[in-house]
Amino acid sequence: MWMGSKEHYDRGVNTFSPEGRIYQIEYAIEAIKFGSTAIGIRTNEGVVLGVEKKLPSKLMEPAKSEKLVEIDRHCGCAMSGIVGDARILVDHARVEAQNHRFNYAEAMSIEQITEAVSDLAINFGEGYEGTKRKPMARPYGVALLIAGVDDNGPQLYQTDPSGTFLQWQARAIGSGGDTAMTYIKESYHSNMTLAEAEKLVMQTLKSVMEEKIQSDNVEISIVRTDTKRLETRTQEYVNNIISTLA
Amino acid sequence: MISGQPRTHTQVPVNIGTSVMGLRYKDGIMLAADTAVAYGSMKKTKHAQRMAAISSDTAIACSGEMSDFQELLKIFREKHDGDVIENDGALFLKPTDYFNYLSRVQYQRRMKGDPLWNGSIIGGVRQDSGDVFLGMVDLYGTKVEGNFLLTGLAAHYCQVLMQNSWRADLTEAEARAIIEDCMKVMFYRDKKASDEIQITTITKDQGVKIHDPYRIQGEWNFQFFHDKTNEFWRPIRIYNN
Amino acid sequence: MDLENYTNVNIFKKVYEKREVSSIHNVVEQPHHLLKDNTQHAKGGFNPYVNNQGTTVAIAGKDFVLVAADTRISQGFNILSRDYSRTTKLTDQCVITSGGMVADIETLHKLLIAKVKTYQRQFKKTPTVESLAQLLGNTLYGRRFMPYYAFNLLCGIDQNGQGSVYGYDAIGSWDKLTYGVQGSGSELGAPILDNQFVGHNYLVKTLPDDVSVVEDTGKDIINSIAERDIYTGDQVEIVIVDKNGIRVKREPIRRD
Repeated sequence: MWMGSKEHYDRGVNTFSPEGRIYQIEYAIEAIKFGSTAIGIRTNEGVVLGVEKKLPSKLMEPAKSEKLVEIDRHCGCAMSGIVGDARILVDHARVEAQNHRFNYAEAMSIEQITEAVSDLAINFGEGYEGTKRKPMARPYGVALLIAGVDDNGPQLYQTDPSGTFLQWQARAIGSGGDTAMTYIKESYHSNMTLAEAEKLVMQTLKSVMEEKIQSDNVEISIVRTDTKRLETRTQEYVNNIISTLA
Repeated sequence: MISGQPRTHTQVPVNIGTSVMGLRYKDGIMLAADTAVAYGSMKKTKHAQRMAAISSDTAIACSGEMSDFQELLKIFREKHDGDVIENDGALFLKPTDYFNYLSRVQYQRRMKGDPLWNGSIIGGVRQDSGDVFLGMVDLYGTKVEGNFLLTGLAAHYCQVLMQNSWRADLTEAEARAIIEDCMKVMFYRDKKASDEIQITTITKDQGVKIHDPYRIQGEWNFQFFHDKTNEFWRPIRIYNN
Repeated sequence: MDLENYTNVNIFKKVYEKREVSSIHNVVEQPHHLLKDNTQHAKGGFNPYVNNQGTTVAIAGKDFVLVAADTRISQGFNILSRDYSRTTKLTDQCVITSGGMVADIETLHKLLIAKVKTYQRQFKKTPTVESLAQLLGNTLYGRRFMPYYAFNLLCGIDQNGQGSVYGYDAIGSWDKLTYGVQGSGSELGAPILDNQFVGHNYLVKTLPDDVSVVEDTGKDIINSIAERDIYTGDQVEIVIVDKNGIRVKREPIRRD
């Protein structure tokens, strides 16, 4: 490498800058800020995930469940960033969740699913000599909101490209993430109902979205504490909430 | 070797050492074996040593295939030397550790279908705590612990003898007497046994001490042996047609 | 369908009765480099399996599970040990008890303990009996082609606080039971259990609620088996698992 200029420390993913930073990871975190907004809120009755679906052209079909997907029966995932990268992580999480069911005849805990995702997320770089599969050459440019219900009740986690995962009561990521967080912070309280949370998600999305909120450009899913099942809300249901929004 | 199949060694034992014995006594452990090695029904060697120290406080005595016994000693020696090098001369393994290790070695070899065809008795007395240990491992890796242990034919012939005479407070002389008694029975009844026996003692004070082999006195001075067989009256049955 | 070929008996006949016996001349006339080494000696090769026998019984109660097992292990007609414990604690709420080959049983139990520890460290909780039941099934089936010669009962308190027993064969076929018996005395023990407890083939499986009654019955069953099965005897080991943890006690039984 051409020495003498610190700008060049961002070329390799395995190189720290003298200040102790790995720039590629930070750039990957930046990539999330271009992604569409995704919101998760945890209540005692369950967890809500909501995403904005950007439709760049009127000719594009509004695909279902592109950014809000199922990992297991009891666990959903909303994403923001490079969706292709997210698919790799989600596929991994799905396999891990099913493996857990096969090995232990029980649902994998949300924390463990998140950890499995993060393990893969930090496993980038050149890989080890003799290992069969080459890992990702760069960090995954995506953040995930992983929500679900397990033995410890409703859970909401967020992962990022550095392999860090954090637990949240409410969290927003993506282009409108910061604005949304301020908005949610004002209205969130720990004993809100699931319906209130759903409405808060929609209200927040409405306030941060550039386009007008419609039933085909947002999507919400919930996991109820009592049923422990992931449910995707129908367009009619979403429409009903939209009609009540301020 | 069949091509394409993994290498195996003993599939049937050839040079066989017969039963070994071990018992706890007041001061520690006594292991015993005779010195004969049989090749089929022929006594191939009458002065082989079938016991060895594997550390300063642990000893082993083996019956079964003698080449596998030597392999076993090699495995233990290499482990011992490796441990000495790794720990700058300090050794942390207790008699129970060698016992468990032997069991795993035997189990791994049986999984390969390439067993070490031995019945082994491991005895030891820890130099620090004085804990006394006596255990037996077979060619499957089965672990057995006991106050007195017998392998091979001795397990059939000497079980009761041992059971009736064993006490926790046996002196060395008493223990030796029991062993000699058992060895005498084996010599009389087991065609592969010999009257030259060897004893190893493991005590807290003296550690492993492998004694010189010596001959036990069998009692042959019976009238039966003095008289010629022909001079005995024996009924002769004559079968017609 | 050709019924001749349908049953196992006929498959057996086909394999064993129609087999051609090759004569020694066929072998000798082959070129030397095609001859196989003679690995089968007069006494035959190494059989990696041995049955060390012994019996174990497990009975699930309303809020406990009880294991009664003998402590004898044998090799042929020889008794190897009179105080062998065939029951191992896996968690505070779960034990495994096995009959069969001691070397395999010990290996399996050790492996399961390691798997439980791995689970605890990875998932930050103790595995439930249901999870261990699935895990044990997979572990045994993973060795489908060189099975653990171990016949297991997995016993513990489930998440509802009820006693549960899972019974296995050596290659991992398993089922949830209300009581089970494994090992050399299983044929003698099964009908007594069927007579004394509600379970097998009953639609409503009522679990016993008095641990002392079940304990006495368990002891009696092992003792009765020891009367008829030469491989069962010496001591009966009672292991009781309930919400307070695991208790173990032993009593002598006939030693002949």
